[in-house]
Amino acid sequence: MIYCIGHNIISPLGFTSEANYEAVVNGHSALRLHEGTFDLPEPFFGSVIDDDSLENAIAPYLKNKIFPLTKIEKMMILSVIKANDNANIDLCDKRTAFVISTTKGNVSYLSENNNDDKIFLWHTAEMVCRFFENCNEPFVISNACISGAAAQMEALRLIENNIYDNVVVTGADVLSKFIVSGFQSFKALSSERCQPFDRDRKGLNLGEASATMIFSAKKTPTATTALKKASVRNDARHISAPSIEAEGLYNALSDITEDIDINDIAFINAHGTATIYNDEMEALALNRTGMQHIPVNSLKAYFGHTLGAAGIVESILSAMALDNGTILKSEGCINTGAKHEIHPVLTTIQCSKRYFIKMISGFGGSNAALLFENVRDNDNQPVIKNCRCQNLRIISTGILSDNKLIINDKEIHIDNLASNIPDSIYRSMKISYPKYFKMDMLSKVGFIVSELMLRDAGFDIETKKKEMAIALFNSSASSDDDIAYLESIKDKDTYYPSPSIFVYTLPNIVAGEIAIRNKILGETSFFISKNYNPQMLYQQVCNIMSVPSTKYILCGWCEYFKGHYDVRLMIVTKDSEKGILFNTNNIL
Amino acid sequence: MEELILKLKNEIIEVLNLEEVKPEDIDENAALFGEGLGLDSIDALELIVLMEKNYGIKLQDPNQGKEIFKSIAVMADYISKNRTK
Repeated sequence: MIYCIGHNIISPLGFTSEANYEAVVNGHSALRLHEGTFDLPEPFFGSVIDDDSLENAIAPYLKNKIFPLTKIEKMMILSVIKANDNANIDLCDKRTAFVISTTKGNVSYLSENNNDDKIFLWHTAEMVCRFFENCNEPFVISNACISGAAAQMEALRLIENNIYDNVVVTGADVLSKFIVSGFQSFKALSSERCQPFDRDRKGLNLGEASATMIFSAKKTPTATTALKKASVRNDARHISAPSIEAEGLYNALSDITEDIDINDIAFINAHGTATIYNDEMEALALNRTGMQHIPVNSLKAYFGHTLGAAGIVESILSAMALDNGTILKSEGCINTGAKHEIHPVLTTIQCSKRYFIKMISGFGGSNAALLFENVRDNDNQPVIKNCRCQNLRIISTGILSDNKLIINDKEIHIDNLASNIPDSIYRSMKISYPKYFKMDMLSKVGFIVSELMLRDAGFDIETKKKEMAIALFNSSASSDDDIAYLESIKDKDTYYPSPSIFVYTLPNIVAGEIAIRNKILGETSFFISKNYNPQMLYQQVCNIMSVPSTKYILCGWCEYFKGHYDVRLMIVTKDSEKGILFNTNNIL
Repeated sequence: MEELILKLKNEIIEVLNLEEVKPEDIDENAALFGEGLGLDSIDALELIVLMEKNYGIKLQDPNQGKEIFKSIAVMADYISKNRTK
């Protein structure tokens, strides 16, 4: 358990958590019709932060800073500053870490010939840390829509495992032609204000926001909320469509509720995007876990889907509501319309229970669930578990680099080596998987190496693997696909946004592809770091292995950018005497 | 119509990256989704893009695709009646 000692939300509804909460309680929405915004040929219904208001708000803090900042960086920095008004921690302390959550960062600055570091997610994180003079390498999580929730889970582990005392979780995304056109190509957007869980729901709205939660091992007098448990689970079903069995969300919800009485849960704050299939999947997950009677709400009709910020924005508002003894109205839902019975909150109601759940799902088959507790009247409880890596072993390795493929220390000869290396390997090794040729290059290189390693290590493709997790890292995220997608939208005359390219502009899709192929139902995560950092990889694997149900982790570096690839993967286990010891010296 | 069917087969193979499929492998009367080519929801969205890009047909409601994309033959028939380019 960790304590939230400060928080903030920056959205069109206000630049403090309190202003946003007040607006929501009063039924205000930031959503409106945008025509011609971002030079888009079609209008969209969404929420956008006014640039001038942001500039005015951050100007006093930038006086002595000389480095240029983009909109998303300013949003994150302003949010952290305001969150720390309450937390009042030393942001540059070596025991304070930053966890950054974003799906697309500065993608609006991308152009065909732009090699500026600004386009990379690690750079955005670096700018935020540099502003606060924090010298620790930031943890950057890009797990599609669950990023904000996954970032909080990261904070929980970093503090509980005594790696840091304080963790600043900040998330943001800004809208752009790139993002809006992609969702339009998916036919996922509603042309009017979204209606989560309503029978007439027509799709989602997108929104801009940044939000910050500062977590600590120690409770402060003003802290009212603690993050008690967190879980991320993959559906292993489809890279973009919600699972028809709700398997991942069911597993994540089961994980966080196993030790509590579900009758103590005041409400569940759902993802509630207002797409037909997401809301149906969430309703099914609640029924499968026996929680269909618990009030459920979605806050999307106030802000839209704020992508990398969503999990944080919605956790903060839900925590404030619980502390006020209130369950916020699920705006937009008039006639409940899920096939599986649930109870959306049709009008704001009172509550006096101690827990709430935040759940969220996203592309790549990932699902997250967080359990929060109101701790206003509780004393400080020790949070340190000190889970240590003991006897973790590497049981399989795979390298694809410089035209060489090495599986478990044996170099594999590739027949008919052509310019497309992964395709050459696919054919040479006689792999058969119909979806392979639909993948982007990042997924292909990750798929090929993992395929050969998993088969060599004796894992089949049929058995469901709840005990296996995937944790991948790279530097460029999905920038190669970003450039390809940009090509489909850059000219007015040839403006045909491609959904099959857009879906791969999220780096965690490679983890989803591997999960689908191998029925891996455990945690899947994608982290971004400037350079390959074995120490960070080691730390992540130890953190993930601290989850008792996790026995195997497919982990490592998986990079593809502008024709250059570098894949170094390992299977690490705590369940074997074979293999070599997993430590920073033995990491590939 | 035969010419349009062949053209469509080639276009579908290209945009959906059906690398190991040849036009003659596709039965124009067989279901495009489910069994057969194993297409999924993203493929359906990409077919909507194909219709607009190559034939000037704009489908706003993806549910329309369920009928139009039943088979190559049905798709070709719809295109021949509604194309603007």
